[in-house]
Amino acid sequence: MVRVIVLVLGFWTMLGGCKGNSDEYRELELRPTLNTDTVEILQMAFKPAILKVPRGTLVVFVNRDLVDHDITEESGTSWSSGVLKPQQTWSETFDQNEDYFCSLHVVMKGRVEVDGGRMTVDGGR
Amino acid sequence: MIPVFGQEHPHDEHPSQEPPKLTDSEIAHVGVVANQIDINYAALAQKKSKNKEILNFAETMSRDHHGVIEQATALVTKLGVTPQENAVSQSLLDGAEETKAMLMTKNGKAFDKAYIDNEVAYHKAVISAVQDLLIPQASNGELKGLLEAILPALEAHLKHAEMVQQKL
Repeated sequence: MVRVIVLVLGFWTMLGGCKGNSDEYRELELRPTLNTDTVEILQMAFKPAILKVPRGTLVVFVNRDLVDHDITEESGTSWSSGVLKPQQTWSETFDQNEDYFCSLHVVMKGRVEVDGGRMTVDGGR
Repeated sequence: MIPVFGQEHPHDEHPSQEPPKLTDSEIAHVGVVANQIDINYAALAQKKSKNKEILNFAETMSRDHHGVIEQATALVTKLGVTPQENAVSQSLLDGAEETKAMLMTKNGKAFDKAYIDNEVAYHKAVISAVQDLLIPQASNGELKGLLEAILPALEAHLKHAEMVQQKL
């Protein structure tokens, strides 16, 4: 009986392993390589103020300033990071051009410009 | 009244032309007082105004200046410096009392205008003081660095205040 259970468990594990590998392979095929880039918030400015990236880039915003900031889509209605305290980060994937500002300091503005970056397994940069 | 360092005080019979000499302890006190004064103005605006732009600006002033005080406090604690009252910080406090009394007499749009006009003038005065008095006289490198790091925030506050001022 014990031998049967071990055999069944072993077979089940093998199947699970195969399924996992298959899913992983499919995901690798479909998923674009993750491009990443960074915008620093420093001295009351987004640096760079205009960031040009391939489509699908994950942009990491890092607050290196003395005070809190946020990253809010220009109209103020589409998306916002919420308040970022000094040294906190927030990231977002960009598939289209986006203008944004800091709603806490409305004079601070930035833009992510997306080009047609390749959506391939070997990356687009 | 906006206390502007290096300019004549209207009540001074013999205005001094020389900038006052400050120690690091005194500079730290001036820094804390200058930030606290703007927090107090913001609290007044949050109590008296219903204008969205004014309320947003006041909230930012309160948050930022609290943040700066926290950083300044952490630094002076680290340096073992005790902020020390002095003529410059006293002049700031005297000016703030007068300004607060003036703001208390205003309501509605008149208050909004008086508040934001004062914010523009106050930030100009504080920027000038930080640039021309506090940074040059700070002897500790970290204190000088913090003062330099605060300047862009003060300049952004001034631009923000001017933007609100134009919209009123």
